Amino acid sequence: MPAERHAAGPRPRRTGTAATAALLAPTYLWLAVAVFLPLAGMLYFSLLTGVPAPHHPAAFTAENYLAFVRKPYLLHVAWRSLALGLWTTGLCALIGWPAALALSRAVRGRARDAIFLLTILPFWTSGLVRVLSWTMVLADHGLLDRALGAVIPGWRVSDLLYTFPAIVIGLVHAYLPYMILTCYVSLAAIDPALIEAARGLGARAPVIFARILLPISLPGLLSGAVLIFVPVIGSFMEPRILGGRVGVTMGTVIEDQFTQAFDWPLGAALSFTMLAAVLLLFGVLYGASRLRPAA
Amino acid sequence: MVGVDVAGVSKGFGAVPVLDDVSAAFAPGMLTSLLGPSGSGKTTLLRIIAGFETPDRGSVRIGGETVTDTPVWRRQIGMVFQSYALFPHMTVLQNVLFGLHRRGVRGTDAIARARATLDLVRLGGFEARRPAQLSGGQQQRVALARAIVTGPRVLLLDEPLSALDRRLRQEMQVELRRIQRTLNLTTIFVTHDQEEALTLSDTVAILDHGRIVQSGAPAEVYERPRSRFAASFLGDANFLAGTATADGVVVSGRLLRTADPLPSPGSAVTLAVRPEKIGLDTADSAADGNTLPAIVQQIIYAGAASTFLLAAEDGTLLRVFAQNRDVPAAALGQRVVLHWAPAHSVVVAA
Repeated sequence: MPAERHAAGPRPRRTGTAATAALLAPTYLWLAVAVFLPLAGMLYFSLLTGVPAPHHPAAFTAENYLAFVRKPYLLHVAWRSLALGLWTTGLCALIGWPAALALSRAVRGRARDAIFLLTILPFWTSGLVRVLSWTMVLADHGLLDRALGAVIPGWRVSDLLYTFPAIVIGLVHAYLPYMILTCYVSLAAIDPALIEAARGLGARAPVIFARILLPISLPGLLSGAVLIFVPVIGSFMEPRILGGRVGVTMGTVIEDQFTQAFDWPLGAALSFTMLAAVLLLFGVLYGASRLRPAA
Repeated sequence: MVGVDVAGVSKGFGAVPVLDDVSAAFAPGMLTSLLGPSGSGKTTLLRIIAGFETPDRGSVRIGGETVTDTPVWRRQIGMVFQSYALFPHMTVLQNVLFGLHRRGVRGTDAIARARATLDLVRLGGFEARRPAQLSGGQQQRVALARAIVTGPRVLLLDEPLSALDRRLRQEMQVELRRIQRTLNLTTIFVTHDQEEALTLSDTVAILDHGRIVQSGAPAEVYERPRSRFAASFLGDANFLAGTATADGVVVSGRLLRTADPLPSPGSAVTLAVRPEKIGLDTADSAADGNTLPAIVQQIIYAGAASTFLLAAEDGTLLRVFAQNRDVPAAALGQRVVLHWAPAHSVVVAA
């Protein structure tokens, strides 16, 4: 029997490889065309002195990559983007993890389906509509002020619109579902008997949270954080609409280079600098997480 | 060493009653098996003793102290789950240390106790492994070590061996018994495996439809089943329906004697006879016990022993289990006489 299986082994494996390749081909073809081609174009632009035009031939230069040295105010902008990423990711984790826990442990059947639907709802609405409706809520004497005014006597204005917190509110709304879904997947996989075993061994709720639930769901929490942090530090729509004057982030600066200043090379170079920074950050985080179990 | 007492416990999930007025005493230092088919309520009873479920009515006492409303983490129980429920992100040593740390035992003292317990379950040297790197039997031992290391007042096991293959299961039964006797630990063991219940326990309690239908020493419960259910769930049994007389039970015109007290003459009686208690003769020998002629319908030869399927004159099917001391004593289609001692006809409730 083992010999038979051995002899028959290579054949299914070869068809398996072919099938895998056939299944993956459309994805990789699409990625190559839709991601790497434009990226290659951007890389080319980032190394030019200007946008090439018929009577303005552009030369190659690395000058654009020195933007952070030449324009120190960009460091300030980068810091704001980073703060935005940290605040949004942190709040999503604080709100999303408990929600995912409740969904995985307490809620069953139809109620769970309904709550999932409500969770995913932000995905179904246009991002622009979502952000613009927040301006109506957060504006002076907007919906929020009127609601608070009805509850708290003497309430005047919250003065939230065009502030940093307003941007964070809009971004948390947009990205919370990612955190809930990734945390849910890792929390739902935990055998309920693990929690009972811990209780039987004398553990109370805080210990079960810190020693069992949190460590086991950490991969979900981290993948949610990555899914949120990366787009948030590059976001430009929410900062622009909800942040007004304070909404200058790396995302809006880059967008300006393309749509207002027509300095494509600088915009491209800033994009690649951010990409490199993010890759470096996750490289370090990944390395650190790989080291942890051995320690 | 303390006992566990359950008094008048009822529990239902929604409209479905699971336990119906169950009372039982689990003696100190003894191993009691809760045996029953799925849905009989045996796991629910264990979970109520552990504190994972609250009974609708009734009370639970551990060592005389009422714990019905005591949270699990204060009950000082050791529990082993069917799925083992080892913490996957911790090493074997960390799993065993978890309960000690919760009870304030820390540092080298805790590590020494954890190592001693791992030695007791013969897992010394596996401290740094993770659960995923262990076989099923080894994971089982870690779960046991984790449950007993804290010195619990009672050890509760929920079908702990059902995921193991037959050989490993028998090995673990011996191990479990050795450890339980070494620690003299009051143990309650849920199983649906009758052989496991018989070989492992001091006391067997048979559950059916949320009630304990019979409990006692394994030999007592096996030899003197009180009901048809108890007789057929624990081992194999032949059932003979007849009518009571002053001397015995008349089954299709033949008087069968029994050592059990009989109901008033004329009432219907069911006798249970274990297949291995019945002798099989080709001639109507002058046996002093009960005799019953039957035709051999099938012989299942299994090396050391054979099982005979026979039909009595009234069509009742009977099963006889015989050691193959010589060649099988009868041939297919042959008319034989079955005989057994009156003490082996047990009157059971239908």
